[in-house]
Amino acid sequence: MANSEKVFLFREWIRRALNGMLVPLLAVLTAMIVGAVVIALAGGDPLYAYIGLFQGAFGTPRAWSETFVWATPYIFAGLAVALAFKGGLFNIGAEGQLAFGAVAAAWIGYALPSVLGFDLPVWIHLPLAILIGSLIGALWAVIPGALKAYTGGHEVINTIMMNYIALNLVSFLLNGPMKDPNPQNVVARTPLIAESARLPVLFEGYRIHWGLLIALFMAFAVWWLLWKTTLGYEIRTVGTNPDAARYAGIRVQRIIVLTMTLSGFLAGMAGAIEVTGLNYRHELGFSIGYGFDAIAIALLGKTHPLGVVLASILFGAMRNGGTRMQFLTQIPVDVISVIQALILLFVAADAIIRYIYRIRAREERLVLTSGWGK
Amino acid sequence: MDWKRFAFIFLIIVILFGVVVLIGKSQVPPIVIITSMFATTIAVATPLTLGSLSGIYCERAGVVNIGIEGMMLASAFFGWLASIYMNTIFGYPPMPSLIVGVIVAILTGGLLALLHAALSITFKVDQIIGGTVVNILAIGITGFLNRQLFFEKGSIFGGNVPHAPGTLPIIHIPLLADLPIVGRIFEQKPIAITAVLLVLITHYVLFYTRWGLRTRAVGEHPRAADTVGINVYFMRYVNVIIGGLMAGLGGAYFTLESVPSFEPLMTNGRGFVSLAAMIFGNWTPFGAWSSALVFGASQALQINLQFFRALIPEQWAFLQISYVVGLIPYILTMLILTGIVGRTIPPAADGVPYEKPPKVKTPVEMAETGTATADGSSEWVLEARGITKQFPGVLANDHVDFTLRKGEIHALLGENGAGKTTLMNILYGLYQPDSGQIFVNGKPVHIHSPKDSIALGIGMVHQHFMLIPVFTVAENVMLGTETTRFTRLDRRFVAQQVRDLSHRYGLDVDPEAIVGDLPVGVQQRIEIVKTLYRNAQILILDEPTAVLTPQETEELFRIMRDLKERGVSIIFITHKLKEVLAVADRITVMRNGRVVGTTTPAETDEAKLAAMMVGREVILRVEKAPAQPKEEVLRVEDLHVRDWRGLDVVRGVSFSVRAGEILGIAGVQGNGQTELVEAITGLRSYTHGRIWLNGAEVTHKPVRVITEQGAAHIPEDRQRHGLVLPYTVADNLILNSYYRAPFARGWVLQHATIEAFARHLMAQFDVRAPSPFVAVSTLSGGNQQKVIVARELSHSNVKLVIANQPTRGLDVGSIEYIHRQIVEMRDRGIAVLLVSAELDEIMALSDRIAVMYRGQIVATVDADKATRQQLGLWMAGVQEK
Repeated sequence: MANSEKVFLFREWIRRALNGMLVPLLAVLTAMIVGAVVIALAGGDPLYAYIGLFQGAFGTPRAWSETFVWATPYIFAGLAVALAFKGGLFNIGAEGQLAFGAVAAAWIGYALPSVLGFDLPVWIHLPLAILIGSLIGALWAVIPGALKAYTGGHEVINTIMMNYIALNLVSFLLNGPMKDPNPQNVVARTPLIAESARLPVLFEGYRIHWGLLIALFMAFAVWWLLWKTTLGYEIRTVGTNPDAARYAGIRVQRIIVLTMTLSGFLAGMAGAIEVTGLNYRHELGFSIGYGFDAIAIALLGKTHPLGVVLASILFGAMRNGGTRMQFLTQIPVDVISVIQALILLFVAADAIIRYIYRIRAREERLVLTSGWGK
Repeated sequence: MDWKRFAFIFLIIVILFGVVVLIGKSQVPPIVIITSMFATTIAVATPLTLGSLSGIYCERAGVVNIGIEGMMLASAFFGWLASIYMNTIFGYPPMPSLIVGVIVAILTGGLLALLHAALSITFKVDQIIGGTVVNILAIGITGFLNRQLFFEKGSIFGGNVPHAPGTLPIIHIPLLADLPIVGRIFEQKPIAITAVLLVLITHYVLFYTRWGLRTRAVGEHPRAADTVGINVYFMRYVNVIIGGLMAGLGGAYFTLESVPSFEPLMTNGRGFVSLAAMIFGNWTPFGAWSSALVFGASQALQINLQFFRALIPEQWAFLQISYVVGLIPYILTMLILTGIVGRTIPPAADGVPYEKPPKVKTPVEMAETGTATADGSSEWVLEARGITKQFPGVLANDHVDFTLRKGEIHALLGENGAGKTTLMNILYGLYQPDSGQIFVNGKPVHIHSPKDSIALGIGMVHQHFMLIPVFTVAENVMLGTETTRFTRLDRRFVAQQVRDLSHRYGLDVDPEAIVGDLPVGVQQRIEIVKTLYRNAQILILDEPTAVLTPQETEELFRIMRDLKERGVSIIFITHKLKEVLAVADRITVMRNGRVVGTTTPAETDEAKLAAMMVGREVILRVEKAPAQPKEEVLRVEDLHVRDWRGLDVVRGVSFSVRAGEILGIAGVQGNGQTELVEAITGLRSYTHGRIWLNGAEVTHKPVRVITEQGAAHIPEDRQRHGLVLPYTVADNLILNSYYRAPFARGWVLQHATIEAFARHLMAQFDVRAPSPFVAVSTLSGGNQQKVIVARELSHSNVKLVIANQPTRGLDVGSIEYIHRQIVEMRDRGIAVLLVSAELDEIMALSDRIAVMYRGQIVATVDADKATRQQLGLWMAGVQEK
C-alpha cells in the first residue's frame, strides 16, 4: 500500500469516524441541554443534578458496577435491533423476544433439574439456560421474519403484536403454571433458579457479572459476522440494496428470515442473561421498556456494534446515576426517560442537529474525494 | 370492505358473545347478556375506534403513524391533569373541569401529531422511527410528570394524588335509550357517542368532500396530486394533526371517561391495536370501527368472564381464559396481515416521504428578446425562444427554439436523452429554464408551476400517467378543480361534464369506472379529458404511444386528428418515425439537447428522419479483426416474457450467440430488451421458452446457477442492480463471487485476497479511485461502470458476457475503454450479447446484429452488410419493401 494512500485512508477513516460520531454526540449534548431546562422548570438545579447523575454513574466502584449491570441487557438488545437494521428490518419486538427468552431461561433454571430428576453440573446447566433462552427469543422473531419474507406482512406491526402476545402469555405463565409456589409470594414471578444455572459475579461483593463480558463478546461477534463473513456480507447487501442482492444471486427471503432469527437470538439472550446473571428469576414486568430503549440505543450507536456498546453504557449510566440525582435534587429519576427520548429525537431527526450546529457547510467541506478521478 | 371480511368480523363477534351467553344463561336471560355485552363492547372499543380513525387520517394522506399509542398516553395524562388543576387548584365544579380536560387532551394529541408531522414530512425522518420517537417521548414525559407532581415531597399536590373530579356522565339518548332491554346500548358516555359520530363524519369527509378526495389523492399518488396543483405537504400536515386530535380524544377516554385516575403505560398497547383495527378494516372508517368492535368484544368477554367466573367449569380454570381471550386481537391482526381473509390494500404512498420535484431558481434574468408583436396577434399559440437548461454534467437544452401553430400537430422527435422531455417540463412549469423565453399567444409568460401552465391553457399527458388508480374517472378528472354542493362533491355534475367532453371529442370514457381497472389506452384518454376539462388549448403528449398496442395507437391518432379539427394544438413527443409521419403536420428533430431541424412529412421520409435523429457526425470506430466464431454458448428458444403489468413484452424470441462473436441487439427502447436480458440472467421469470448456456439447460434456474455456468451481466441500471453504492470499490468487485474461494474460506471473507484482487483489477481496468476502500458512490459514472465491467469480465469461468446499455450516460473516454474491453473479450473466445439503443455502438462493436421490435426479433444481419438506414427502418418496424 503506497504511503500516500495510507495517509489518505487514515484521513478518510478519521473523517468517517468523526462524521459518524458528531451527530450522536451533539444529539446527546442537545438533549442534555433541553433536559436541563426541564429540570430547571421542575424546580431543580440542573448543574447539581448532572453532577449527581455523573457521581451516581461513575463516582464509586459500586457505581461503575451498577452502570455496567444496567448496560449489559442494553448491549444485547441494542445489538439485536442494530443487526436487524443492517438487514433492512425494523425489529420493534425485542421486548417480547427478551421476555420470552427470560421465561425460557428461568424455566430451564428452576424446573429442569426436577423434571430430569437429577442436578445438572454448572457447565451444562448454565449454558443450556442461556442457549435455550436465546433460541426461544429467536423463535419469537422467526415468526414475524417468515411472515415478512413469505407473505409480505409488515414486520413492524407483527413484532409489536408479538410483543403483546408475549406480554400476555408471560403474564399467564407467571401468574399460573410457573408462579413461585412459595406461600408468602403474592407477586407474579418464577421460583429462584438453581445455583447451577447462575452466572457468577465478576468481583465478590459487586453485582457486575459475567454477562457483561458475554455482551462485549457478542458485540465483537456481531461486528465479525457483519463485516468478516459471507453471511454478514449477504445481510448488509440485502439491507442496503435488495435489487443488487438479487442480481448477485443472494436468496433475499432466506436472508430476511435469518436476520430476524439472529436478531431475536440476541434479544432472547438479553433476557436469559438478566435471569441467570442478575435476578435469578423472572419477575413480571422487568422487560418493559427494553424494546424502545434498544431502538434508541441502536440508532444512537449508528447501528454499529461499537456504537451500540458505547450508547448502552451511556444509557446504563443515566439509568443508574438517576437514582443519585433524585436523591440530591428531588428530581424524579423518570426525567432520564425524557432525556433519552430527546436523544432519540435528535438522533433520528439529524436534520435538526445539522441545522442547529450549522453542520451542513462543514460536512460539504469535509468531502475529500470530490476532486478525485479527474 | 368486502363482504368476506365483514362476515369474518361478524362471525368472531358472534362467537365471543356466544361464549358469554353459554356460560351465563343459567343465571341471566341471553338477551340481557347480549345487550350488556354490546353496550360494553361499544364503550371499551372507544379508544380503539378513535385511534383507528386517527390512523386513517394519517395513512390516507400517506403518513404512517405508529405514534398513536404515545399520543393517547400523553393526552390521557394531560387531560386528566388539566381537569384536576381546574377542579382542585382553581376550584371549578367537576363538569367544566372535565370539559377543559377533554379539550386539553385533544390539543395534546394535536401537538404530538405536529411533532410527528414535522419529523416525517419536513425532516424526512423515517416515519416509523418518527412514530417511535413520539411514543418514547410520551412515555418519558408522562412518567416524569406523574412522579414529579404527585409523588414528590414539596410538589404542588404535596405528595398526594389529588381527588379527581370524577368521570364524564352517562348520556341517555332520547327515545332509543327508553326502549326495553336494548335501551341499555344507547346509554353511553359522551366520548363513546362522539367516537361513533366521528366514524360517520370521517366517512363523509373522506369519501364525499373535496378535502377527502385531495387527502386520498395525496396518499395514493403525491406526484399526481402535485401536478394538479395540490400542496402535498400542507395536506399531509393538516391530516396528521387531525389524526392527532382524534388520538387525543381517544386518550381522554382513559382518564376522563373510563376511570378517574392515571397510571403510567395505562394505554397498554391500545394505540397499536387500533392500527391493527385500521388495517383489518382496510383503511375505511366503518371497517375500522367494526374491527375495533371485534377487539372491544374480546375485552367485553374478558370483563364478563370475570363476572361469571364462578360458572366456568373447574377443569377449564387452569387456562385462565381471560388471558387467552386477551390474545385474540393480536393473533387476529397477524393472521389478517398474512392475507388470510383477502389482502388488505394500503394507500399506495404508504409511508414514503415525498420529495417535491426540484424547483431550480433562475439566477439569470431571461433575455427579453422576443419576436412577438405587442398586440399579441402572433402566428404561434406557443413559442419558445433560446431555451437553455443545464443539469449537473449535462446540457439538456441548448438554445432550443420551438413553435406551435393553432390547430396543428407538431411532432418533437429525438432519441432518449435528446432533451425533448426537459423542454416539455419547462413548458409545463416543472422546471425553470436557465435562459430563454416562452410566449403564449404572443405574450411573454413566466411559467413557475403546473398551476401557471394550466391557467395558460397548457395541458400535459405525462409518459407515466398522473392518474390515481383507485379513483373513478370523474374523480380523477375533477381532482384539483372540484365542484361541490354544500361541501359534498358534485360527482353527477362532473360525470355529466366528462360525458359531454368525451362525446364532443370522440373520447369514449365511462366517468363512473375505476381507473385502475381500465386498459392503458383508456387511461390515456382520461388524461386527455383531464386536460380538456381544465380548458387546455395546447396539449403536450409525452411519448403517448410507448405504452399502447397498435390498435390503441390508431385510436389515439384518430383522437388527435379530431382534437386538431376542433382547434386544439398538440405537441407530440416520440422517437417513433412511422408514427410521426402518420400523424404530424410538422416535425422538429432534437439531438443532444439541440434542435437539428424542422421539416414536414411531405418533405421527408423515414430514412431521412432516422439520419437526422441518430446523427452522422459521431461515429465511434473500434479497431477489430474479423470474428472467428466457434461453438454455440447461449441459445434462447421461443422465449415469452411478461412485464409487471402482465403484458407480453417479449413474444417468441429465439437466437444463439457463439463463442468469439458479438451479437448486437438493436432496437428502440422499451421493445422488450430489458425483460429479455432479465429473463436470460434469471432475474425475471418467463412464461414460455427454454435457454441453454454453455451446453447446459438453464431454463428457470436461479441467478447464481446461471452465473456459475459462466454468464456475466453488465446490467442496464447500474446503480440499482449493478452496485451497492455505499460499499467500497473492493466490496463491489466481489458482489457475485464473495462466497467463493479465494475470496471466502468457509464463512470467512479473505480480506487480504480481496484487497489484492481489487488492486489488480483497478490497475487492469483503469478504475480511477484513490483506494479500493473508498465508497463506490464517490466515483464518477464512468469509473462506476468500469468497476462493474471489471467485476463481470474478470469472472474466472466467464463464457458469456451480457452487456445491457454498457455505455449509457458515460463520457467518451470511458465509452472507448469499455468498447475495447468488449472486443478483447470476444477475441479471447467469449460470447458477447450486446444490447444497446445506440445504433452507433451496435454497429461499431457487433459481428451480427439482431433488431428487436415489439418483443420480437424482426431481422438478423451480419454487421458488415448492415446499413444505418436499413437498421433504422427495422427499428421503426418497417419491413423491407
